[in-house]
This record gives sequence, structure tokens and C-alpha cells, in this order.
Amino acid sequence: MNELDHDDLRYSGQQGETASISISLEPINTVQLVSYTVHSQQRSLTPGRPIQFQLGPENPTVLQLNLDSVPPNGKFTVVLRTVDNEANHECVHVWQRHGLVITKDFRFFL
Amino acid sequence: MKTRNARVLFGLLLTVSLLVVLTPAQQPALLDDEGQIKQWRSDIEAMIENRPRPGSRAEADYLVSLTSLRKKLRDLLVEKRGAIKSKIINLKSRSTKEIQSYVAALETELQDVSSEVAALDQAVGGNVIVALVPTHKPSPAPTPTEEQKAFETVVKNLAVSGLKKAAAPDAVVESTLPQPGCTGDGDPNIALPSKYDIAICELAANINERKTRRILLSGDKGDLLPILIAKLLKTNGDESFVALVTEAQERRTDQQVGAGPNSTGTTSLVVKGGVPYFLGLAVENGGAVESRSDTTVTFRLNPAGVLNMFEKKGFITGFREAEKDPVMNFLRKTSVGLTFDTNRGNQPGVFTGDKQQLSAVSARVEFVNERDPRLKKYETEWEKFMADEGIKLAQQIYATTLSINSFGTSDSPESFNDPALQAWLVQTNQQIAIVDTSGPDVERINEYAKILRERADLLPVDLLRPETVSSISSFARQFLAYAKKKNEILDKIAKGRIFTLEYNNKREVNAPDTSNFNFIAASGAGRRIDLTANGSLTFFHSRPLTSSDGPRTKRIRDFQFAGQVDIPFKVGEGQFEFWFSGRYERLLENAALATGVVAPHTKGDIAVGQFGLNIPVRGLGMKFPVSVTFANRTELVKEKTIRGNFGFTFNWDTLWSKLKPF
Repeated sequence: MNELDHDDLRYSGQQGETASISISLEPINTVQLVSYTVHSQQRSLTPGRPIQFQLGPENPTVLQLNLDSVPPNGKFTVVLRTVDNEANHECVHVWQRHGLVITKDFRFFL
Repeated sequence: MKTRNARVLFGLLLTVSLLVVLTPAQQPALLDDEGQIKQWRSDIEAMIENRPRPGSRAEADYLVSLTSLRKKLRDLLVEKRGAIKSKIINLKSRSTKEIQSYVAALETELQDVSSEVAALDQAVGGNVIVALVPTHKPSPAPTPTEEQKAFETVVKNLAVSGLKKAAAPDAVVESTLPQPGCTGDGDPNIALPSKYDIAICELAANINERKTRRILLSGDKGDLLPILIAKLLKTNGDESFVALVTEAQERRTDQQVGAGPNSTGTTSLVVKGGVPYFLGLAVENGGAVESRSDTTVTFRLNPAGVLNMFEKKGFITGFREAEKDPVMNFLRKTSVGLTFDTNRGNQPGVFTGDKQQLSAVSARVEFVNERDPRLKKYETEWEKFMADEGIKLAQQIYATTLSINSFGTSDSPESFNDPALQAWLVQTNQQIAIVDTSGPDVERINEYAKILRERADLLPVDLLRPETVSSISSFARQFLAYAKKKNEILDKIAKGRIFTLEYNNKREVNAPDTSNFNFIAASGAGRRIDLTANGSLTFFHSRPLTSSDGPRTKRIRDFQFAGQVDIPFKVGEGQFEFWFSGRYERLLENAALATGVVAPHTKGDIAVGQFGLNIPVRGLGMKFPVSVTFANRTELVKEKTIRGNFGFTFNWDTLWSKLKPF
């Protein structure tokens, strides 16, 4: 998988390739409230567990993350693994909540 | 007469006959194109269903016939597409809602026809057998399609002046609320911002972090949707959704920053539970319960937070490491307080912070805190909340996304489907791009925020498609339900109990020092009301001096019970707190003067009542507590008394998290 545009969360990959995304949250006394949509299916994310899915057949494959926390000042670190054109093959995004649900669309083009 | 009637009758019959004869001749002309399209579609489907075996003799003829049919169908669809485009061009400049609604329907039809043409082009070019049944989500082509080009033309043709005319009138979009600026972190610089203010500052900060300064739908939807709710639904009569994002939000706190009631300058009768993560500072004037009325300065600090500070670590890193280390985890629940009496020492009235002015040292341990949202007891509720409301919100956000925006191509960002909204986004990004980037972050963020506020007021509400408005309303409805359920859980947590044990060492100049053990309990009542109770016992470190004929003083000085009710309320953007409290103290021994000499006949009962107001100060977590205290007597004077107290408290956690977030 390759990163096409870091700010725009745009990637390219092969059909059937597995995308793996891990999410962590700080500070300590913060409840993670994360849900996501992939392949048009919605799920909630258990803290500490990664999101894994295969790319395709739809183009692009879209992962929509909804990040919320209690209290509202949670800082999310989202790491996308096996990105060939990134250092350590990891693409890291850090987002600080200010009180609204953060919604991010990761798009993977075949 | 008969001849005339016969002529009329003949004329009528002739007219009817002509109509009967001519009508069937005209109908095929109207139906021909559509009918032919349907016919060729049906023929192609029939051909595909009856295709020959691969490699058979008939295959070549089959492909020739199929390709011919497809080309005919494609040519007719291209003509139809041109006719639809002409209609759109003829009507797009008219702002009447009904016409715009029709234009929206035409654009949808144009999209379907373009998709079918593209599929036919592909099939004709590669002789590939493809089903021509339209799919729900056509895959975007890597290069701009005809449909995309047509869309871009429509967007470009929506000039700045045209969008401005379609914006809501000033009287509708104008807000009477103050418009706060933003901090360098992207927070509004007021204590209780609305979701709209949060969205503006957060979006401005997001733009500032990017290499190419612009709004990106892939990452900014969470901020753009509240802005659209606030400005778009306001003109569509759905005020309940608008209030959700434009009203300031209330919040709660249970941290005690000021000195406890035993210090001479305190404004409090009751000590509250909770500890600051890093440092709290309070300066208070006016003894709430003692005879002396001095100015005290209290620092309350959390050892875990301070250790991290000395390790040059930030607020957030410190918390994370405290979680892993059991010692740090314990220290996180403790705090140490140092109170300085500024009337003592070589320079009375001046805070020197030296040993002479140190009038009290306290330590506290919070051993029960049910207001931690991460407690096991709330885990199931959060899981259920996410399985239910979290999933519903995710479904709605995705549905709204599919409705209002396109996922673009591998070399282009996401875009709005609604041409008016896309034109608004393009023009907003053009304004953002010309901001001078040489200044400090906070200046740039505020410049972006200013542009965003101006542009939000210019959203072309009159040009937007009905389905765009409908999708945003659906999102707002689900967002409201999600926020309501979340607040229900938060209200439950806010009612949780807190038990804290505090030790106070009061250092006197001449009189014996005392030790006080105070048990603090707190619980919530109603939605936001906070109840706090204290029970304490005070000991002398050494027996006070008494006259030789008087009875010998015992070690236990007093015991006390106190209670307080806090009622937070909101005024404009500020979170005020009204409180009333009562305290009963049984002085088991006569009180000692500052000189250390015991004042005779002073032991007995002291009853104190108090009401006060915590006045918030814009920004930085600072509050001014002002209170009035009534007592049947003081420690030394057995007379009724009324006195006023004031001070300010400052929670450094707020500032620390802003100054050094990493």
C-alpha cells in the first residue's frame, strides 16, 4: 500500500490487500468511543483492538472513522500499517478532540 | 337553419376525425427515443442472456450484433444527455425553488445517463460482456468522466455574486452571541463555547496544520456538519437542531483549589473532594470562621503531576505513565497543599513564600472516586451506548456522506455533490489560500476562523438541493439523539460519590500547632447539583498555656460537621456556581490567642452559615469566589457576626494542558 496524500487520507493498494489500523487514546482517564464504517458496514471499536479489512472490490474502499471521547479532550493517535512509502511502513495521524465527534474518511484506491 | 347545423356538425366530425388520425402519428414521435432506448436495452439484455458458447462459430456474429446494438443505444443516450444538459443550462440561472428542484432532478437523470454511456463505451471498446443494470455505487473512473466535467462546469459557473445572492438574509444569520477568538491549539478562547464555535476553531486549526492550506471533506466533515446545521437549518425552521450547536454547554467540576476552613483567609466553610492533576493556586481574603481575617495564598499540587513536570514531560505524557506505574497511579490520587499567611513575617501584607508565612500544610488522598468515567461500573453502559447510539450515528454519518459528497478519484479530494455547496467550498478555499502564512500559528488560526465565520454566513441556502438539506437534517436528528444519550450517562457519573481523607497541619506563630483530620464525602443530586459533607477532628500538638488555677487543657481541640450544596448555572458563556453551606463546630477547649495564651470562657458551640457565588473569568480556568458568612459567634468573641469574603482560584491544569500538550 502507498500513501498518495497524507492530509487527504488518500492511499493506493491492491485488491485483496489487508489494511490494518490501530487507534490509541490519551490521557489516562478518558473513555474511548469509536465507531467506524467499512464496506458499508458499521461497527464499534473495542479499545486496544485494531481495525482490519481487505481492499476492494469497490473502488475506492472507504474507511470512515468516528472518534469521540469522555471527557472531550481526548487525543487520538491513528496508525496505518504496511504503508510502503512511509518511514517504518507506518503512517501516523494525531488528532486532538475539542468537543465534537471527529469524522475521518480514509480512501483506498485500487 | 338545418343546413347551418349540418355544417357545424360536419365541421366537428372532421375535427375529431383529424385528431383521431393525427394523434397516433404524433405519439410515436414523442415516444420514439425513449421507446427505442427501452427496446434496445431489452434487446441487449436478451442477447446477453442468450450468448453463445465461448469459441463457437456463432460467437463472432453475436459480438458484431451486440456491439452494433450497444453503439446505437449509446448514440441515442448521448443525444438524450445533450438535451438534458441544455435544459439544465437554460434553467440554472433561475433561483425559484421549484425550478431548482426540477434542475436537481435533471442533474440526477444526467448522472444516470452519463453512467450508462460510460459503461457502454467501455463495453464497445473492449467487447466485454457487461450487464447494463445500473449499480448502486458506480466506481469512480481514474480520469474525469463527462459527468464530472459537466459538474465542474456548473460549479465554475456559480459566481461569487450568484452565491452571495442565495445566502440567507443578514437578519437570519446574525448572532447576538459573542464570537470568540481561537487559541493556538484550536480551542475557542471562552470558558463555555458552543459546538459551532468549537467547529470554527477546530476547522481553522486543521487548515493551519496542512501543507496545502484548505478545507478537506475527508478530514473536516465533523466540523463542517455542525456549521451547516447552524447556518443551513436556521433558514429551514428547525431551531431545535440549531440550538444544539449554537448554545454554550454546561460543565461540572469538583476540585477544591482554595484553602480549607481552618485557614484564616479562606472563603470556604466546606472542603471539597477531588485533586488537581498538576497545580492549583488560590488567593483568598476574609476568615470565614475565625476571628482573624487575613489574606492567604494556597498552592495545592499533585505530586505525580509535579514529578512529570520536573522530568520535563507534558500533561498528556504524564497521565499515560501514571496509568502504567502503580506508585504514580497512587500519587495521582493525592495532593499536597501549602498555605501562606501574608500578614506574617518581616513584610506583613507582602507574599514572600518563606517559612514564617507558611501557616498550614495539608495532604489528601482520594480513596473513592465514582466520577471517573473509566470505572468498571460504567464500562457496560459505554459499551451499550456505542453498540446502540454509536452505531446509529455511524450509519447516519455514512448515509449523509454518501448523499452529500463524492469520494473523488485517486488524484482529487472529496467534493460535495451539490454544485452550490461545492462552489461555496471552492470559493472558501480560494480565500483561505491567500492568507499570509508568515505570522505565528495563533494569528493564522484566527485569520482562518474569521474567513470561516464570514463564509458560513454566505452559505447559498437558496440554491441547495432539497436532498442536501434533508441529509443534513437527518444527521442533526441523530447527532441530537447521540448527544442526549451520552449526557444521560454523564449525568449519572456526575452523581457518583467521592470520599477523600485530608490531613491539615496548622502552623501557629505562638499558639500550639494543631492537626486536623477531615473526612470529605461528596455526591450528586438531581442533574447537576453537588452535595458535599465534612466531618473533622482537631488535636493540639502541645497543650496551650493556661493560668495556674485553671483546668488543664485536653488534647482534642474541636470536632466539626459541615455540609454544602453547589448549584451550577449558566449565564451567557459563563458557568457560575451558587452555593450555600452550614457548619457546626464544638470547641471542646478554650481558644488560644495568636500570642499562645488561652482566652477563658471561649469554648462552646459555633454555628456558621454561608452563601456565595463562584464567578468565572474568561479563559484560563480562573474563578472569583465571593461569599457572605453569618455566625452566632467567632472563636474568640461570643457575638453574632456577618462578614464578606472574596478571592480567586486558579487551576493550572487548564493552563498547563494548553501550554504544553505533548
